[in-house]
Amino acid sequence: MNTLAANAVPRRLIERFEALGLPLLRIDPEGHAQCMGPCSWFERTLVQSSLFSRAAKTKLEARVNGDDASVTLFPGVDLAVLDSAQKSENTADRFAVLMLGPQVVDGEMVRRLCDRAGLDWQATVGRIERDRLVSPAEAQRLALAIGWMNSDDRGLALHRQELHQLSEELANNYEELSLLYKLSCSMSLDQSPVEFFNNACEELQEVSGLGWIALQITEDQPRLQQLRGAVYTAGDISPQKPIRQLGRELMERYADSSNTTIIDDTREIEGVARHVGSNLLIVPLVREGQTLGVLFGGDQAHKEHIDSIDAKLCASLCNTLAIFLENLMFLEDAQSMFMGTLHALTSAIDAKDSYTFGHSERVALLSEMLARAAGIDEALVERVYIAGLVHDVGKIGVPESVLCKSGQLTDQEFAQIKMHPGIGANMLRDIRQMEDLIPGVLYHHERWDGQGYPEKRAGLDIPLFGRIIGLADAFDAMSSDRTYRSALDRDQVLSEIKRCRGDQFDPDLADIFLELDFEPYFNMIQRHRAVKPSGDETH
Amino acid sequence: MSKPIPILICDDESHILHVLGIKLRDAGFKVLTASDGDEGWRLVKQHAPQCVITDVLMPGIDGLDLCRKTREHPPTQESVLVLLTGRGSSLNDEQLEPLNLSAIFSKPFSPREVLTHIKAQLTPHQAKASEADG
Repeated sequence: MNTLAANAVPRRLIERFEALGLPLLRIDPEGHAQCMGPCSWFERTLVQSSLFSRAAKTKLEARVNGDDASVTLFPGVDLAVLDSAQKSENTADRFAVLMLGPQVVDGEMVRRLCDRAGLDWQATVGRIERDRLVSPAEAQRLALAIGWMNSDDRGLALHRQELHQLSEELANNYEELSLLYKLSCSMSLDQSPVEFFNNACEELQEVSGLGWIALQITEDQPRLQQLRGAVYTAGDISPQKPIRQLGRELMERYADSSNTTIIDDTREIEGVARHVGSNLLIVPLVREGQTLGVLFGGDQAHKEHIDSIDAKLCASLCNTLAIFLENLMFLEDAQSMFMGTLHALTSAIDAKDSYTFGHSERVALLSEMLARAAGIDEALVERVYIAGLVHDVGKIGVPESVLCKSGQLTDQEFAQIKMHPGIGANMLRDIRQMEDLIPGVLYHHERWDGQGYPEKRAGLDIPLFGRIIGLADAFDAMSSDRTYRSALDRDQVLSEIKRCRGDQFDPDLADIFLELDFEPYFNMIQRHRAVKPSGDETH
Repeated sequence: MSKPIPILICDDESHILHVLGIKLRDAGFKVLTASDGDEGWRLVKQHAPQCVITDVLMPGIDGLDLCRKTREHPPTQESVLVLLTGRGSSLNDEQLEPLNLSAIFSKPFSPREVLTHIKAQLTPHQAKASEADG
C-alpha cells in the first residue's frame, strides 16, 4: 500500500474540519483521545479527561460501523464518527469530530469535570469559547452530512478495491496473453521440439504459479518418432515424484475426456497421483480425437486451489502444444514419404544392374560420414546424404544394355554412360526441394585434375557435394563386385584412394576419408549381399 | 524503509497503466502515471523519476521525444528508460541509439518480465547510493 496515499486521508480531513471550526479527534480503543488539529483549551481539557475517555470507550464500543455517525457522550457533547478514515488508516483507533452544544455550559458534565480535575467551575465555564459551540439542530445536520460522507467513502473504497482486483486480473491476463503469443511465435518447425517444450513448461509454470508442471508425450504414436514417451518438466520435481508413471496413468485415465480436470484432493483417486501433492491439474493434449500427450501440474502457490483460470490458461497452452505436435507429425509424414519415394526410385535404378544393388544407399552413407567428419553443418550433412542417394538417378536414361554390358564399352556406349550426371541434374531441376542437390548429381564424376566429366572442372571449381560424392562413389565401386572384376579388399581400396589423392580426389577430403571408421559401411555391404538378387542369372 | 523510488509510466492505453502500475506498486515503487506525452513530460520535470516507461505513439509529444527530453533534463539524465512498442511500429537504430534505452518491450509484453527488468536496473543504483551514504 502506498504510504503517501494512507497519510493523505487524515491530513485532508484535518484541514476540512479545521475550516469548519470543529476539532478532529483520534480515539484509541480505550477511549483515550487526542486532538489532531487546532482546538481550544476547554476542548483539549475535556477530551483528555478520564470522564471523556470512559464515556467514549463505552459509547463507541456499543456503536457498529455504518450506523448513524452521531454518538452522544453527555448532553451537549456529541461525536460524529468517521468510519472511512479508520478503514483507510487500517487501525483500531477511531476518528471523530467533536461537537459541543450550548447545553454543555450549564450541564452537569462540566461540574464533574471540574470536581475531578480540581478546576474552578466558574473560571472553566468562562473559558468555553461560545462561538465554537454548535446548536443541536446544526449538530444533527453535520452528523447527517458526515454519515453521507462515510457511505460515499465506503462506496469509493469498494470501487478502489474492485479496480485493484480487476487490475490484478488484467495483469494476469496480460501475462497469459504474452505467454501464448510468445509460444505461438516460437512454434516454428525449425526449432528443436525439445527446446520448445522445455520453454513452454518453464514459462507456464512461472505464469501460472503452479509449483511444478510436467508434459508427457504419448508412447503410442509412431509418427512422433524420438519424442515418443518424452517427459518435460519445470519447477520443483523431486526425485520422489513418480512423474513418468503418473503421466502414463493420467494419460490412460483422462485420454477420453478432452477437457481439463482439476482434482482438489488427490487422496480421492487411485494410483500414484496421491503421492505428488494434494491437488492436481490435468490437461490432455488432443488433436482430431487422438491423445498426443498430457500436461499435469500441482502445488498452486499463489492461491489456495487450482482454479478455472489456471485451467483456462493451461488448456489454451495445451491446444498450442497439440498443434505443434500435430505439425511435427505432418512434417514427419512428409519427410518419410519423401525419403520412401527416394529410396524406391534409387533402388529401381540400382536394380537395373544387379552389380550395383544397394550402391546408392552405400554412397549416401559414405558421403554422409565424410561430410560429418569434414565438420560440415549438420543440416547440410543431411542434404549430402540425400544427394548421395540420388546421384545416379540419371542412369534411368541410359539403356540397360549399356549399363550391364560385361565386355569393353565402345566410345559411343561410353558417351552414353557419361550423360547420366546431366540427365540426373535435369530431372531434379524442376523439383524445388531438390534443386540444392544438383551439384552433387552433376559433378560426382569430375576429377580434381580436371580430367573428369561432364564439364572437366578442376580443384575447388568442383562443388563440395560433387567432390564428396565422387570419393564415396569411387570407394563403393572398388569395394563391390563389377561385371569386369570382383571386389577389392579394404586395404587395396584405401591405398588406391591414397594414391589418387590430388589427381582424382580432393586431397584434403581424401585424408579425412582415409580416417573414417568403415564399420557401418561394411555392415551395410553384408546386408545388401544377403538380400541381393542373384546377378549371374540376369546376364 | 527507504523512500520509494519514483517511476513514471506513460501510455494512452489505460489498461497498460493499470497492469504495470499494480506490478510496480506491489513491488514497492512509487508509481506516477500519465496518459499522454505532455503530461508525462510535466511529471518528469516535477518528480524526476528514476525510471520512465513509455509507449511510442500517444497524444502530445511521442515516446521518443519524451525519452529525449528526459535524457536532456539534468535531474533525469541517468534515469532508466524503457520503451513499449505496438506491433508493427518500426523504429530505426539512428533514432534509438542516442536515447540509451534500457529495454524495448513489444506489446503484448509480459508484465512479470518488465518488473524483473526494472528491478534489476534500479537495485544496483540503490546499492550504490547507500554505499555513498555510508
